Amino acid sequence: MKKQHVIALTLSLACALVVLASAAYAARTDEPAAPVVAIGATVADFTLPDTDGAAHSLNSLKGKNGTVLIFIATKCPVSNGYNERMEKLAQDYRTKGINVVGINANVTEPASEVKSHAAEKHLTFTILKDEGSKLADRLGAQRTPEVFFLDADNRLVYHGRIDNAQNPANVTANDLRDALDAVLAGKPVAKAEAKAFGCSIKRAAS
Amino acid sequence: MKRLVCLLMLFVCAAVCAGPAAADGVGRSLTRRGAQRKRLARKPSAPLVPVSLLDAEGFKQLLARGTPPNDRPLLINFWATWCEPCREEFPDLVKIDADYRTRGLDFVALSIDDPTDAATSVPKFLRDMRAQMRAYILNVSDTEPVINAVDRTWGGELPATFLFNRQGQVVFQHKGRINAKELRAALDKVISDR
Repeated sequence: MKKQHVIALTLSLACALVVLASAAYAARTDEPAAPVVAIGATVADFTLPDTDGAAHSLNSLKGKNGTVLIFIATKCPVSNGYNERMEKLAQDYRTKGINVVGINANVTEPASEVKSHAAEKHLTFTILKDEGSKLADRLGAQRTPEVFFLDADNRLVYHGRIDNAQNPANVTANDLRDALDAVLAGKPVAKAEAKAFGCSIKRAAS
Repeated sequence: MKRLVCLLMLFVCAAVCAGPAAADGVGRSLTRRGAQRKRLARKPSAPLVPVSLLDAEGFKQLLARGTPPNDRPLLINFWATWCEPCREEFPDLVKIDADYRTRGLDFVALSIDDPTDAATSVPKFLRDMRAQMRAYILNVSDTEPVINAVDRTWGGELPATFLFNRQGQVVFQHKGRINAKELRAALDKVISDR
């Protein structure tokens, strides 16, 4: 092989590596989408696969009195801090006609990991994999855990945190449960939005 | 032929190291950051960075900083040791602090780790990063008023970085891992605005 050819080949290889490394570095973004669903707005039906690949629509999963969509993560310590509380919530309200559905929209957490995480943490509610974070984009979800509570007509009636403290011992405001109980009692939700710190949803770069 | 093989290996190594930096102009590979962190962590001489607890009143005072206009623009980075993108962006923030402190920037790293970590994981991480900026752990019973006081459109996702001008107005914000080039451009502008 001629020397010039080897040098040309080397330079091409180097350029290719630069491009590949750049693409890998840029393949993830924490940049959130702008919120697009306001309180009172109806969330249109959607279909996502569960961790086994079986497709589920919102309308097939919804409870007769409402649906709690929670964006969750396998690696986020804040989300993991709520595992037991989310499972308890699902059990407490399933019999009251409100279903809890977990959604994992992190590009960094594949369906197989979401499935094993759910088994390990004893999460029995349905968890959907939001590939490409499309539902997260549609709802404007930004962090984990983040709740979208839809009433029986799929209208958004509560958005935000589960409660006000990562440490269960320090909880003084059960915002999500208050919203659920209000809807079940046929009353308006007193506080329709509440915030807390959480992990950013890891979206794929557009 | 041996020379050519050496040349080839040299180019490959250079490309691997330069790749991520080329991605955003300022970034470095996570592998290199991890190695750097370990290298720094081995240095026993670096003292623990003092980390104070910041309550609701303290946070209010931090934002107000007396009556504007203030002498210095304020940069607040909300972060946590358990937040991966927060850790990833921290070396860039340390550099920015070093570069802009003498130019009049007031930089505060505000952790939302558990207040019980004020003497352990938080100062240890800051020491490993060789961070010199002011560091606090937020110690409030409800974080929502803090989030809303900074930006009502912010949902509370981490990391999040806010730059306040001398009048106390947010002139730059970034939710998620920073782009150091963009932040530096904003800093240059706010520092030059008198």
